[in-house]
Amino acid sequence: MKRTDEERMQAVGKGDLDAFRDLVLAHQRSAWSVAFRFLHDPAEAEDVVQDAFLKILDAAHRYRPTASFRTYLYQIVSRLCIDRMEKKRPEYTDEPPDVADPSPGPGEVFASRQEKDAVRTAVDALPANQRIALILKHYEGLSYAEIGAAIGVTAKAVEGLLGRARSDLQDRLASLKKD
Amino acid sequence: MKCDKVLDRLGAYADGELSRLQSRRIGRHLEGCSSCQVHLAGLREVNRILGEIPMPPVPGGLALRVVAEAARRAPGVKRLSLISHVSEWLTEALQVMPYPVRLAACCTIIAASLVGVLVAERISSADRRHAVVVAARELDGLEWFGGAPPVSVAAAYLGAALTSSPAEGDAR
Repeated sequence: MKRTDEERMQAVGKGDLDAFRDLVLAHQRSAWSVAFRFLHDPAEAEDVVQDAFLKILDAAHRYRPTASFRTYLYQIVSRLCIDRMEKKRPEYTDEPPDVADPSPGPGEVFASRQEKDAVRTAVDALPANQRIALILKHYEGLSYAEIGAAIGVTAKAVEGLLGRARSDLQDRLASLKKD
Repeated sequence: MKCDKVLDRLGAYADGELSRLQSRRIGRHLEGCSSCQVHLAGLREVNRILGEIPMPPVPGGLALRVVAEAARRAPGVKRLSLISHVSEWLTEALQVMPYPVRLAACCTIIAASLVGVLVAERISSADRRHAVVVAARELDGLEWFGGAPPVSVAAAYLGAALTSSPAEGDAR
């Protein structure tokens, strides 16, 4: 019978490294997605994923399944990402991140590519809380309440963060179209 | 409902985060307000573009590296033993069986365990008897009395020799 994440966490708390491995396998993609989209650096994103899971291992014996494991993981990954960004804030660059894009085919128009770059650059320029809220909403499909639990704010505050973030992105996109 | 109130909640409306009543009120406003419709279209455009931004795949071996690092940092954390795995498997298997099958399986396990204990006991006692015989045969000078009848001088001598200490034997 397949164990839930919460049951696996309780097993990890008792020293079961196989349960820990199962958790890593099940959630590495989510952790990686958030970390990479936030940091745009594969090496740093990998460090964050590793640190996040090791923190989870260290705290497993104290874990109480009050929230879902996924929310708990996002909470740790978000915190680690924001901490890293704050440490390297002066190094901010306006260049769009160098991401290998597997999707563009011959049919993709130049304007669309520009739009993506503009939005991506605008996302990177957002304040950390707005950026992480946007990532958790758009790429992980979390509800406002879940995002709030992950970043330590209310659902109403998440609505505000996302509203401001999207408004900035819309402005950036509108100015691109004007040019 | 006024435009500024609608625009405040347009994101939550697009995300499906509003109650049915709130959603219906905004929907009604949108039907008659082209300005708010433009805002909603812009919002959906941003959402679409965000959804199209690609992400490289998870690096190969990431989970393996994380688990290896975990094992290195926490040597106290051990993999479960084979016995634990088997008992976990048995518990899970028993849970999904119907009651009569579960009962039969439990009886079989108990019977098999009893048979195992009895067989082990027989083997062990046979080994003990064999060890006494081997020890008696190795006693110096007594090999002649191996075939002595139970009631005889030789048998009495053999019994005395087996119970006396080596020091007593030397003194004699």
